[in-house]
Order: sequence, then structure tokens, then C-alpha cells
Amino acid sequence: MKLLEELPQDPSRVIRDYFPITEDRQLDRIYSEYRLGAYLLRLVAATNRRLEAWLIELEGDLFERLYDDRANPDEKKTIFQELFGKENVMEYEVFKYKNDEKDNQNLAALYQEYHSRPRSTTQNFLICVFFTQVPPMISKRKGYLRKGWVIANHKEFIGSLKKAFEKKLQIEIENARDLLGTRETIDIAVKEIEQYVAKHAQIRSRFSETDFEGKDLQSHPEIFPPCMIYLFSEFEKTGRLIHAYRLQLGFFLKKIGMTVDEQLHYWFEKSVDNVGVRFEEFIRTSGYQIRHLYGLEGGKKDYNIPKCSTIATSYFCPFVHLAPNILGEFLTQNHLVKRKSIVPSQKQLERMISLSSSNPTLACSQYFPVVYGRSLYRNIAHPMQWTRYASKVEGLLEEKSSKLAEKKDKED
Amino acid sequence: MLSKGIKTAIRDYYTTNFNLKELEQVISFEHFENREFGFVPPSGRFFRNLSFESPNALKDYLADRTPLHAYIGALYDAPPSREHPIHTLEWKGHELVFDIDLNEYDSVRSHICDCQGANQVCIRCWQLVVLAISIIDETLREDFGLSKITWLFSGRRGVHGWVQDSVGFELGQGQRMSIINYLTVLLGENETARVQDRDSLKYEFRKRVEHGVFDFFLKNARKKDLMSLGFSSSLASNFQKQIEQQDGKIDQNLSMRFNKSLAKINKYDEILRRWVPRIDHKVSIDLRRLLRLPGSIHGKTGKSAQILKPNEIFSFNPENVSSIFPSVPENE
Repeated sequence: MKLLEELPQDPSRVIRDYFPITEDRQLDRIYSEYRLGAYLLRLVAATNRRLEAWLIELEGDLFERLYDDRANPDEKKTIFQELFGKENVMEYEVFKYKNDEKDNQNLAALYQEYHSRPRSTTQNFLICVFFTQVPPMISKRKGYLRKGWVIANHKEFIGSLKKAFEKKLQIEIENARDLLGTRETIDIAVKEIEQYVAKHAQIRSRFSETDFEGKDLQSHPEIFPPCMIYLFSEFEKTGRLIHAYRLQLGFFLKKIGMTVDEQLHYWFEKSVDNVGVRFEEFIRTSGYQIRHLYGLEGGKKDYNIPKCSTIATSYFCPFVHLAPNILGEFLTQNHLVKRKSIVPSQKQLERMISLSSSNPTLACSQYFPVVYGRSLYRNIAHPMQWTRYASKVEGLLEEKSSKLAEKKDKED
Repeated sequence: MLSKGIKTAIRDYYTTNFNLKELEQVISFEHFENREFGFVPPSGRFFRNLSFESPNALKDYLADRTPLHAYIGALYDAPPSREHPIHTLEWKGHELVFDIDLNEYDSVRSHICDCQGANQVCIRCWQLVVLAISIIDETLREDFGLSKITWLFSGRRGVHGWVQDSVGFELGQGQRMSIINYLTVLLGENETARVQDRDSLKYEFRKRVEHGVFDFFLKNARKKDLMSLGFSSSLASNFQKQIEQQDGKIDQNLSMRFNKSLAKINKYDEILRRWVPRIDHKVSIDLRRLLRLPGSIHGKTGKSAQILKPNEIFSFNPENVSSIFPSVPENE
């Protein structure tokens, strides 16, 4: 506690500040200690980029948990205002009155839906947030957008709330950097904690393992998921892909073990835009993007392949982006099924195509047993999931490492 | 090399016809000196990172240098210049902009009109642009609460939408992207694109899109268009007759009958796929993008990027806009 006195009078805000003060003394003591701990962790994160990512992810999850535990809607509304700004949050009733929306049938239906639920879930309430604060909800058309306000159950905003919290935390960590080196006692404590935390902190990334390294899997397209097989064959055929698709395939090739040099050669050789361009020139121009994938340029992050839900909105998923007739053709004609001489039945095709519009990941998961003759115990949610299972079926991944991967999956 | 006649025509236009008041309807003149401009002079090279102390200085420059193309960009914390290019300056804002170009519809245009080649445009395919304006404009006003929206003819084969509301001015890349995603009904690339699942197009937006598309389609459909969808000759004639009887107006009865018939032949999505708005995403999302200066001349057609008045949007015909050039330069 002595250290707490050493800290500046108004230390940067900590997670607990977003939740109202309690009368319980014992709890208050825990909070005080937590406050010190949380503050010191911010200083630790300010010294180490890897730990910064770890702390943001961890506290983001903790924030979500604490938010969920709050029973009182008023407390929850306060959290909304703290994170999105008072001017960007409005109570549903106020919105309705202010915009004279008495006769809006969509709003009435929305209100009815949330208030006709059983008593056990009465923690539901509608709230309005200005659209600039919740871009992911706008992209996915979540909630009801009216005159610039997104109206939805508070639970629908949790993802955006968490993101806003993490953004604020990142700014706090940035600000905490200025305090490093100002007091020796703090610096010593920070160093000790950093050494301890660095040993134990693990950044969770379910699919970032490199158990495919050195396996030369790029020459085995039979284990590629449908999205990648489509992009891969499209690029082989046309020598051209749009930027987002190039990124998607690039991330994938990296994750299945292609080195940066191999990718540079791959894109240089296959791309049709390179006529008359020397390899050295290519490395200097387009090579930047490829090196970026490997964290050698720009923000220097070790990027992972986006998960299926992100691919569906921002990249390429055949089940989402192909017109039904073309999807049917692709599912029966691609490299995967051709190589194995598989002919999906009409019933299977119809089922996958009809599922593709409402639940593309389920459609993809149903395609796996069609191709490999093995069923999945969990649905595909990430391209690497497909690749891992497929390489196991195809005998490309050693039994030991695949078992480990499976175990890891179950733990997650 | 540019002919003397064209140079004189451009000079005359910027001296006498270029109206700064019209420009002010689209962009705010506040901190005008920190706004980036770009030009393609008669020599054909492209210059950007230019700024002007005042709107009048811009007008003088245009009349003096007679650029083939003039562009306007974002606002920065200091005047952009060759010494201080935009990447060294802090970005302060840019109006929310939309670019709708018939290029984006090339893969479906053959179903709508008989235009041959990318450079052609006719009143039939122009309806695609008009429909896009009507859906986007209404969505921005009703759903996003934006009100200061101006549409301009781009001078060639499309339109630009400028949103002057201060909310739009400060939007970041992610926020602009989210608006585009909201407005995008098609997923995927041109030929293989598919229409999003109906359930994901919520509430009024879905109704707006479907109502708009089927209304426009019916109004513009020729008998051969209806027959190519799979309708029998008699049914196609029947629809045509009814539209004629109603003076081109589509009432609820007709609209319902048509929708049911479409659903029967499973072409509901196909019509949506051809007609839904196709926005050039990059233009809206790129914060430092230069867009044609409102009121300026398009160097390839000699037509000006004029404001479309709300009551003129539906009757506007790009073919009727006269070029200021004595003769249009061939494929420059």
C-alpha cells in the first residue's frame, strides 16, 4: 500500500472506475488493492508491447464479465455513457419522444419483443447509441437504425462496449509511458512484475500455432478450406486477385508454413501484372505487402488469418459471396472433389446452398464430410480448423501434433 | 497535344460560368486554405498537394492554367504544398462522399440496355444510377439522420454524392466502411456476386431496396426483358399493358402480382442482383482521396460536374448535357 502513496495523485483510470463505488468496506479494500495492481500492470504493459496486447485482451474479457454481473440497468447505462460519451447515448423513451416516433411500427415491435420475455431475463432494456460509436453493428445491420441512432437491447452492444473499453485502456497505457523513469521505487516494482508476468502471460490465439512449419503444405491443396481453394485456383487461373483476397490467401500461405521468401517468389511468378518487372523491383514495390504479412513492415504485428465471421464480411467466403448457381458449380467442380473423384449428391448440394445464405459456416462444415468422408465434432469457425482436420485425415500431420492440436481446441 | 479551341473553351468556362456559390453548396469554405487540390494540366501530368488561400484564388488558377481535370481532397491542419505534402500533415476531415459509376454495372448492363462498350451511356442504363441515388439518399436521411446531401453529375458516366453534415466530415475509415457495408446489398465481385440473405437486410432498408428495385424494373422493362426472365409471352404482354394503362405508375396490386410471378420462376434475387446500388467503396473509404471538383470540367467529355437539383434527378439525362469542347477529344 505504501507504493500506492507513491503513485501520482490522479493516476490514470482503472477498470474499477467504470463501476459505481460500493459501501462494503471489505470490498472497497479489495478494490483499492486491485486499483494498485491494475495501475502497475498498465505501467508494465507500457514497457513491453507483447504484454500490452496480453493486458488489453485480459482486461477486455474481465470488463465483459463485470458488465454482465451488474444487475442494475442504471449502472449499465452509466457504463454506456462513460465509454461512448454522454452525447452519444440516449434512453429509448427519450429517443422516442424527442423524435416523435410514436407511430413507428418497427420501434413498437422492437419494444414488444424485449419486454414480452420471461421475468428471469428482465435485465433486458433497449438503449440508443449514435451510429458513429458502433461501426461493427452498422456493418452487420444489428439493431434498428433510425435517424442516426442504433436502437437495440443493451446486450447487443457488448462487443462494441468491450472494444471501446480496450481502446480507452490502450490510451491509458500510452499515457502511463510518460510516468516510467520518474520514480525509482515504481520502476523497480515494474521491472520485477514484468519479469514475472512475461514468464506466465500467454496471449491466447487459438489458431496461431505454427505446427505446419516446414511441412510444405502449399503443394497439398487438398487440405485447403473451400475459401482458400477458390482463391488459390482463381489466382492460378487468372494471375490476379483483388487486395483483400490477396491478403486472405497470403495470411493462409504464411500459416501453412510458407516462408517470406517463398511467398515473394510465389506472387512474383504467378502474378500477371509483373510483365517486364524485375524480381528486385517487385520486392521493393509489391514485396512491401508480403513482408507486412510476416510482421516485417508497418505495425510489425504477427497477423493471423481472419476467422470465418470476419471473412464473411470483409474477405471472401464462397458460401457467402458466390451466387447460388456458381456456388453449386464450385462445390462440384473444385480441386478438392475432382482430385478425389467425389460427386456430391443433389440433396447435399441443395442443403448446402440453402444453408449458405443463413448460416455459411454450417454449410462449410457440412461440406467437410462430403469431401473427406469424416464428420466434424465442432463446426468450422476458422480456415485453419479445416486445414488441421483435413491434414489429419490426409495423413499430412503427425498423429502426435494433431492430437495436441485437438486437445488445444477442446480446451479453448 | 490539346487543341487551342479546347483550351479557350476551358478558359471561357472558368472565367464566366464557374460559380463559387455552387461550390459552397457542396463544401464548406471554412479553413479553405488547408484544403488539398489536385489538377491534370493540358500537359497530362497529375499534380496534387496544392492549396489556395481563398476560393477566388482557386477560380483564378483554373482560368489561368485551364486544367483538363480538377480535383478536391481533404482538409489538413496546415496548407498542403510541395514542401509540406499531405502525408506530413494531420488529417482534419473530409466530407462523406459516394461515387456511383456505370462501370460498376458493366457485368449486368447488357440485361438493361443495348449499350455497347464501356464508354457508352443511355437513358435506360442511367436509370441504374438514378435508382442508386434514390435508395442511398433516402437511407442516409432516414436511417443515418444526415440531411445536407448533394448529388452531382460526375461529367461522364456517374454521379458523386457529397454529405456536408459535420458528423460525416469527421468520420474515420472504419466508420465510413460501416456505412458502405450497411448500404451494400451485393456480396462478392461483379460476375459472381450474390444478393445478401433477405433476413440480414433489416426492417425499412429491405423494404426500401426491394420496393425501389421492383418499381424501377417494372417501369423500365421491355417485353423482351420480361420474357428473358422466363415469363410467357402473354404474361409479359399483360404486365406491359397494365403499366401502360396506369401511365407508368406501379400500384400495390401490380407490384404484388409481379413479385409473386417472380418468386414462382425463382428470379427474385436475379432482379435484385442486376439493379441494387453498386457503390465504388474505395472512394468513400479513402480519407485522402481526391474527387472531381464540383462545377469543374471533365477533360474527356467537356461536360461540367454540375449539381443535380432534387427535382431534376429523376428526369436528368447525361446525354443531354452539352460539352463545352468544340469537338470531344478521342479517347484521351
